[in-house]
Order: sequence, then C-alpha cells, then structure tokens
Amino acid sequence: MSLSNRDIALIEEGLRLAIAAVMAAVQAHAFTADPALPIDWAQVRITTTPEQALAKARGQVTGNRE
Amino acid sequence: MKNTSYGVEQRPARQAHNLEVGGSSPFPVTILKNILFLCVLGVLCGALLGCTDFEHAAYKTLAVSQAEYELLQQRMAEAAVHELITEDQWNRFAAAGHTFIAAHNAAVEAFNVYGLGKTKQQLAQAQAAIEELPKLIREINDMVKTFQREPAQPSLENPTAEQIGI
Repeated sequence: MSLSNRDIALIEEGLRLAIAAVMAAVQAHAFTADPALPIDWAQVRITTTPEQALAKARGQVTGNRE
Repeated sequence: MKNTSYGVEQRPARQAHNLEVGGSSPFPVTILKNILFLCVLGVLCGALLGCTDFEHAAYKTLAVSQAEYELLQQRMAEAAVHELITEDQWNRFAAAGHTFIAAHNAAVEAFNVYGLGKTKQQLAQAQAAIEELPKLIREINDMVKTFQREPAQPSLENPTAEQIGI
C-alpha cells in the first residue's frame, strides 16, 4: 500500500507538531527544574499576534521571490 | 501542465504553495483539524502529567499550548498568504486567535499572581483560567473544519481550471 501526498503531508505535520510539543515540554522542564527558583511565567506568554504572523509569512514569500 | 492529479478548485493555490515554499504539504488547512485535536490532547496530557506540582504542571501545559498555537498560527498565515484560505476565513481565524491568545495570556497572568500570593482565591482563578483553554481550542477546531467545506475562492492571479477553460 502506497501513501498519497496527503498522507505524507499529514505525517509530516504530525511529526512537526510532536517535535514542537516535546521541545516545549523539555524547555519548560528546564525552566522549572530547580524548585528554589521562581517560575518565569513571561516565557510562556504568546506574544505574536495573527497579524504579525501574517506579515512574517508575507515577508518570507517576498524574500523567496527576490 | 497536467491537471489531473489534484482537486480543481485548490490546484492553483496548491501549486503556488508548493512552488514558493518548496514544501510537500499540499493543503495546510486540511491537516489543521488534526493539529488542533492534538493541541487538545497536549493541553490535557500536560494537565495530567506531573500532578504533584500544580504550578510546574501548569507551566508545562502552557508551554505546550503556546508552542502548538504558534505553530498553528504560522501554518494558517502561510495558508492565507498562498490563498489556500479566503480573506474572510483568515479574519475569522485571526479573531478566534486573538480570543485564544487573550485567554492563554490571562491564564499565564493568573498563575503568575497565584505564585506571588498563593491564596485559595488566586488558585481558583488560575484553575478557571487554564480550564478555559481546551474549550477555545475546540471552538477554533470547529471553525477550521468549516474552512474545509468552504473552498477558497481563487484570485485572478491563480485562476481555477474552469476559469482558464480546462
């Protein structure tokens, strides 16, 4: 049984998501490893708005075209 | 140019995406529901793991929630730039995204405040704030599902096969 392009794309996205989740969890563990230190909650704030993400994506497209 | 491999409506935008990005993902919106489903799982798993330390578990949950939302937002922005979703769909996502960001950052702030005071009331507020997130993710998930049933309107720059008479 061969995989379609869509299947492969789904697997790629799943892997990308899993990697992002694992990296975030590992990083969070590192930040909270020492119970004596206060937790830096600012690290887990979402600071990029949808508009900023869109502008960045547009910039990448423009960069690729140039 | 062969036109037989993919769906007619999405083909030009998909080609643009593949040409410009160079990636193999044909249609990011198609996979977003899976990402969002996993986001829910991530948040729930994060809440269940490491229950011995409530604050640390919450921190990990919020870190995973942050990473996964930002990944989703990036993919949606790419989909919008490559016209795989309409401007209206992007605007709806952006509105839901702002709501999620506000709720996520409110939860972060609630835990920050709880960490300073450690009162029961602050704990209850922090718990309530973090419990709000899965509901919001579910709402975004439902919204993205509707995107799949509403094909993106191709622009004149990327006409459909029908428009170019194929």
